[in-house]
Amino acid sequence: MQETTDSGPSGSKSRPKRALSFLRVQNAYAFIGLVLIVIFAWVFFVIEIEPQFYLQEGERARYAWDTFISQFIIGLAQGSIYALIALGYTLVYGILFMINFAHGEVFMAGAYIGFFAINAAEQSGFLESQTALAILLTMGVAVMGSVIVAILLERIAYRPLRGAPRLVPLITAIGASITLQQLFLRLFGSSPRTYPRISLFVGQGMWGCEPVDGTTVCEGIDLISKSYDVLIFNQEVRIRPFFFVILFVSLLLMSALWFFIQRTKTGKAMRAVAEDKDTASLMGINVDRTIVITFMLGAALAGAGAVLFALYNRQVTPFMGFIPGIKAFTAAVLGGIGNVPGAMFGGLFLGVAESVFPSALGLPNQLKDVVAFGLLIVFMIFRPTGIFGEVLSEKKA
Amino acid sequence: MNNAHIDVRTVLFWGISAVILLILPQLFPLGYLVNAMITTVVWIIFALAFDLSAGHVGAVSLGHAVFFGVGAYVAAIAAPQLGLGYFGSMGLSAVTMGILALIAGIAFFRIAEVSFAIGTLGALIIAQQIANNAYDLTNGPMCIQSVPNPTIHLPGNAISVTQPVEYYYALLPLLLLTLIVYRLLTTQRIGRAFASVREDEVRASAMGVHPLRYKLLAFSVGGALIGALGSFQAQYITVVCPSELAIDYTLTMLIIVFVGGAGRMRGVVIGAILFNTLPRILENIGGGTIPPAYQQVIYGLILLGVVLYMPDGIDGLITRLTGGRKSKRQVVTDA
Repeated sequence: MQETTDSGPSGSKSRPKRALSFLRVQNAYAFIGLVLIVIFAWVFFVIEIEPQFYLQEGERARYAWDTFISQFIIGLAQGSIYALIALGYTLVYGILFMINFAHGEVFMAGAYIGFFAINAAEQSGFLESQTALAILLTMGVAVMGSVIVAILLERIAYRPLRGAPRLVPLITAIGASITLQQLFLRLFGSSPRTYPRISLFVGQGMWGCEPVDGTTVCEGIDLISKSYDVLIFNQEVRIRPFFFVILFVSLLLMSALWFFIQRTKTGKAMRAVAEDKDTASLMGINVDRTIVITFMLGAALAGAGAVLFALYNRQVTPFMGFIPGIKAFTAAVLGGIGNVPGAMFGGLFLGVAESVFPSALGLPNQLKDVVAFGLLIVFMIFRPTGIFGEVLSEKKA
Repeated sequence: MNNAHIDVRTVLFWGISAVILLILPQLFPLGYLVNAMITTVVWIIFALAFDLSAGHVGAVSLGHAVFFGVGAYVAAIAAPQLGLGYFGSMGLSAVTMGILALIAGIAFFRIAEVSFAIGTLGALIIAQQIANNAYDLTNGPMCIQSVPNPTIHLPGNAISVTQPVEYYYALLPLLLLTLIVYRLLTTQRIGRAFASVREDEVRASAMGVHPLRYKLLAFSVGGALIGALGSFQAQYITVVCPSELAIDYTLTMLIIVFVGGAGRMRGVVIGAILFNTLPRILENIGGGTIPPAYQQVIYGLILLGVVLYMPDGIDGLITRLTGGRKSKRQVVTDA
């Protein structure tokens, strides 16, 4: 399983010298520190120093600290959704060494099924009366939907091909991915479904006080839909509290996953199967069952992420899973695919990078996909092990 | 080529195909039929060039449409300024895309096969985003309109190509070139080297076959052919849009190559013909039993089913039914 045979001139290990070898910092934290220093230096340059050369009297700089801070927070929220999806890629890769290309469609399926749940809740008035509970239920339904899709995928498209050359499951995954996309397109139409606009007020009487008709009314903070002006580092920034909800829920789910993998018996079985399938099976571990559970875990996180994503973006289409899916894969590669904390970190890093970089570099915002996939290619070529250093190559077969 | 291996049936097959290709537009000079034949030939060339790297050296790139789209943009932007004719424009796109493929290959072949597929997909999305946003160069989503109709410069006179039939005959030389190049690269020593690289790179390099060189050869020749095809497409449709860089091309190519039979010329050609004719026939004969909207779902299912149950594709099935030669894959694994 873990044999490290050198793989000819095109392999990545046997090549003694590579270009840009300084990028191959062995210590992950040194690498992260280096990257952060470079980014902050660049942002500082763009905000504080560069405007002095072109700015006329009374003109506003094209980029300022408040933009940076709000983009950073949006990036964290977006990134935590990438991280949730990326964990699905990384878990499956860690065990089967295959890339579940249809994982983006699992995410999409979760968002759709969640839509029907939340729509039913809205029709019946349940969403109005018990908002928090309705959202939780929606998340539960979406998770169930994603899990069912993932189980079917594993059974139909991947299990018969275990042991086949590694490109073959990729092709079936692409086939499954088109099938799911088009099936949802035909079943539910090409016009996007829209999640209802939800308000969930918390902290009545403590925050969010507004003067209404001379008296002060404290209706609380709307956690989901509204944006508020907040002072952060002396900068007035307009943010949605929902960004922090996304970050918090994602971190909660990720730590639950971490606990599951590290502390439960099933988690131990998963680690054993990842290490060596045959030996694990000799030790009495049901390998098939463990693999299914891995797919289910990844799908559950994707389903929860899908509801968060849909509550934030509100629009759900059959093609919504494709780009986030590949971006989450990028996140998994950045962190080192097969590495669970790596996927979490990679997701947050990618989210912040694609949110902050385009405007910091003075590019149009539409080019954020270019930033994300540029990072993917640069990392694949120059640091295929990712930041945390799991080997992404043919070494494990 | 070794004469012992040329049997009558093969000669007959290709001879009859050539005659049909040449005569059909004359027998039925209908606009839509000729257009359908052009599309089919475009897909045959596209799929063969893709198969050079996907089927023969085992490097499935999901971003091959980059060569097609960028080749089309080169033909739409650079070629008219240089005053190049039809073949000149094709040559320019082919050379630039060949070089691009070479550079991309040097970078991307450093990564393992599955990541290679997704890395090239990332490159495709980057190219499409740039084409969508570089208004000065590509006119963005408004497309480059009115690419001039091509002229073919012959010694003596210059012919302007305007009618579908003329485009069709102008495309055939590229088809012939593709078939010859494909044949040359996949038989003989190079072909065996390709197969050895596909099956096991470590063993290939132990046998003195440099895997990277052969992968680069297959990738850049395929890229050059697809670039020339992109140039044809630009001059034929006369509009070039960022959608030429869409992921759809990749999916269609995968279906054609894997359903027909990866690494088999006959299979890929059959796959391309079936892909372009079957949906039309089904629509007409079935009387709408399968709503066309579900076609894509069916394509996905076909791709899934073929890989699971018919790993050698239609060509493998034909070979098995006619009891013909052993599949190439088997020959290599037996050896």
